[in-house]
Amino acid sequence: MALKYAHYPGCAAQSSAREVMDAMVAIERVLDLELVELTGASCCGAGVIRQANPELQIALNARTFAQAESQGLDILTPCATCQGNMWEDLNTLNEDAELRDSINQVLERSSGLQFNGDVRMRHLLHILVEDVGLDTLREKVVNPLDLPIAGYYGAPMLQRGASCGDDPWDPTYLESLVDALGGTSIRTDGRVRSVGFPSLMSQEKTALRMTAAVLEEAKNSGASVIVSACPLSHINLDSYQDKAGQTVGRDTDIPVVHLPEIVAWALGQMPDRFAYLRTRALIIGN
Amino acid sequence: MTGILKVWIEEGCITCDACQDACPEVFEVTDDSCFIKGDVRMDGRFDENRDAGSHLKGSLGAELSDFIVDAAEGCPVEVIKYDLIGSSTDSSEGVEGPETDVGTEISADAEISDVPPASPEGDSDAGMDFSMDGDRALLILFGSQSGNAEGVCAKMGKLASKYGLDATVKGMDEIQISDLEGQKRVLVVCSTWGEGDMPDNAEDLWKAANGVSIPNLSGTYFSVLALGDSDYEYFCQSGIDWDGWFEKQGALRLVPRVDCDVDYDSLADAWMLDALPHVGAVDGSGVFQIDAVEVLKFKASGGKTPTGVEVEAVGALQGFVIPEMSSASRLALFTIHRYDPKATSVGTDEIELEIAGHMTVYDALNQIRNWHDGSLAIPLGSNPVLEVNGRVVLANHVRIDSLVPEAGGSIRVDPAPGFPVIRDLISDLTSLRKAWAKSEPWFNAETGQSQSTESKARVSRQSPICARQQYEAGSSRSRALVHAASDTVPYAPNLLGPSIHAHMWAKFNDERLSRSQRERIVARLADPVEGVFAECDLHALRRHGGEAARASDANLKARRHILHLSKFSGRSGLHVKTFAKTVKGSGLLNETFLAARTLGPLGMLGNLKATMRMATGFTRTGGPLARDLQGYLAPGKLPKIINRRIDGHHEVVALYTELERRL
Repeated sequence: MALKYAHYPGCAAQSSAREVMDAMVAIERVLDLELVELTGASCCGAGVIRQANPELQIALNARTFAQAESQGLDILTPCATCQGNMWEDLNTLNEDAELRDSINQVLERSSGLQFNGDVRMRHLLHILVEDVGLDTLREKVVNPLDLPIAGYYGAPMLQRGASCGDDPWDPTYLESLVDALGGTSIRTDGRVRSVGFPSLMSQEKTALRMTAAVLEEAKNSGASVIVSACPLSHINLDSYQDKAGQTVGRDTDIPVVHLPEIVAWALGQMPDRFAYLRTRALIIGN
Repeated sequence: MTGILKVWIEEGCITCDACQDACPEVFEVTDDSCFIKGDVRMDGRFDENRDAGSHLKGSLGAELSDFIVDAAEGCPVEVIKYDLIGSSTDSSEGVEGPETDVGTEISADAEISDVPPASPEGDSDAGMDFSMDGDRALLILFGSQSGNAEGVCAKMGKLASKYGLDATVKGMDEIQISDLEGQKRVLVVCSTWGEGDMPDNAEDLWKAANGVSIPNLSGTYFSVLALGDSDYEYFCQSGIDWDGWFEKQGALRLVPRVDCDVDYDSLADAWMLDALPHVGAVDGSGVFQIDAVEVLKFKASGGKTPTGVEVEAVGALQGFVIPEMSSASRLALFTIHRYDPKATSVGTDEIELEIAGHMTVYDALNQIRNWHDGSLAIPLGSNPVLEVNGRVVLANHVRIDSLVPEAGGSIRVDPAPGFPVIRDLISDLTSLRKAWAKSEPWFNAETGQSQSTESKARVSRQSPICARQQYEAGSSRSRALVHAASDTVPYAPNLLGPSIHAHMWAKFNDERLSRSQRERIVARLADPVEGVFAECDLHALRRHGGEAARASDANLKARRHILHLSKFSGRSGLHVKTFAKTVKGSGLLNETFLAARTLGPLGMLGNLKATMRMATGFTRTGGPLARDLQGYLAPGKLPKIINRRIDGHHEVVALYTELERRL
């Protein structure tokens, strides 16, 4: 029987990082998952709306929780920022009955929905390791990754609870997954550090220094590729890679791909893109 | 059985290693001489112990006595000397040490009396007989300013009879310094007042203690509980002074001094339950009988098992449960960051250690330094901040068994992130101190913000709720701990840091603060370089939990206040406002609009390289070219100019209308 989840792709996967959605579709097919799209789900607020009004961000997410709950499904997201923020708000709602009641009243008036606390937030990484299982993935590998790959988790999901069964301070899921898919995991300290995405536009220099440190450490540790579990952090690590290198005056060139992509590639999907990555890794070298 | 009080090395050591082989716990042979390890000594120093004459810690003298005697007897040049506990040749002989010769047979009166086996499950009455005979007097002394130390002593005075002791509780102003001479057992509880000063009732006794007529306390056993407040520089100084003074006069410390912060209850109770059986185990003739300690604990517990016992049976500590603290030994592989500033070399050392699960990471590091690698530099002080297995912690608060299962495992230890490293695990906290000074840590009260009580005393008008909130927001065990939890601090040299921000925010909310200082605080918190918006990612703080998470909450509240105060002006304000508005517009974030609005035309031009990089598709792993080309239009990864609206978008608008009309 197929594993079934409410799919919450996050804003980036629906706009700037469409490749995440492409890979998710492929993963769903190969791993026999059933991903039910939450077409009415809004942005999670990314911790930014919370700065203006915490209740507003919680209400937006409570609406999404209620939608998944009405279908009896847990929520799966490929975005570490969504996972972290939504888990925090879910936790707040579950722990504060008074707040939950007041948010439910607002929800009732605005959309006729009710949130009862019967839903869980999980990242794709947690689903793959805990539900699908590394052994199953190992068996389904068609194109072993066969590259030294450094993982990047994304700080928001590295909180006790948000990281599900993984250790939030010394996580291993991503490295285990890379190894199971035929790659060689490179473990770096930077895998758990923030790249400062939330402040990329307001504190650009600092955020770029933080980004450069993560990129540089991965390169120096022998990685040919970085895999990011957070499409938003991916913007810093990838699009702003050149600028980050210029900011610190050092070489930070390294291909950065999304977590769903390496899973899809290893399972034999989109081989042209995987070939492209291997060529890039070869050209950039280490 | 025998017990060793202290051991030292006379001149003439030939560094043959024989003693180290016989008793590696105590002796370590260096290039020049044999040293007594700091880990087993009261003073913690690492030398021959010839001049210092420091006693062995706790019960080590009894536990290791056979090995020490073997080492002394096996020394080819007979330079290993030792004193026996309770012998007539104890530390009162001063720096020259006793004349106990290794070859001399230990005399009967120099031995600790044998106590029958003291199995908690067995009949321990025989073990108790000794303690009930002869002089059982215990002097409990308190130096107290506010009554806390006096309260602890009163409680202890009631408990003492359970250990067969005849206790007298006295204030320090109720005795003369000469009264201490001849006392076999003395327990001291002393608070510290102001900048390391003695409390009022202890001042005269302290003056006398440092006068001309000082008593010889060579036959006295003692322990000190120090009360204080770690917010003050000279934390627990009075207790530290008394502890040192007793030792200097030749008294033997049975239980190490315990320094308590403002929440002293649990530590004081634990010290009490350790100190009382120890002084109770000093028999009527003044000999400390180590085996009697467990017997007394067993007896005082009402004959139940010594751990997990409801001490209600004892009386005074109602409801206090002695927790099960011990945990089995396990093999831990330590990977420790090393940095040598002279050679500018960085790396890691791996050391495998068999260590009890109840010990802390800090204990383990001390053990490694003292027994395996004396060159390892570790932070000192009551709050050593380190990164252990990726988490920023106080190393003396983390037990080994919370990191390593009984089957064994590994522990990685790094210096506190966010600070320059001086050597190995020691960080330079100067930047934090400077930031602290910069934040105006003092308090300017608004004129007239106080009221008179019936007794005409002036008291603050702060409400209890405000006081509690302020205390919770601003208090932390260690500012360095919270500072090190920030991922931004290492890359933003002028950032005040999360612990300073939290403190400033707490002070800002104090209704007694003067208006001018409140305005200065807001200005500083709103500063884009050093203020709360310069902290790039609050999630990075939250993931460390505890105090770091509280600092993150404080930062969030400060941001909200500033955003509304400034009407979302400035780049940070514009970013938040635009983000929220784009979500209101379609239900999803529109990155294109966000970047264009926040950065402005000039900022977008500055991002041209990022745009080009993406537009060429070089980093897009073969995605459709049409999407990449959209990158020309705006910086970053911006494939969508207009978002589709989510289903039920009007519900999102309704939420905004109800909860946040300003956006």
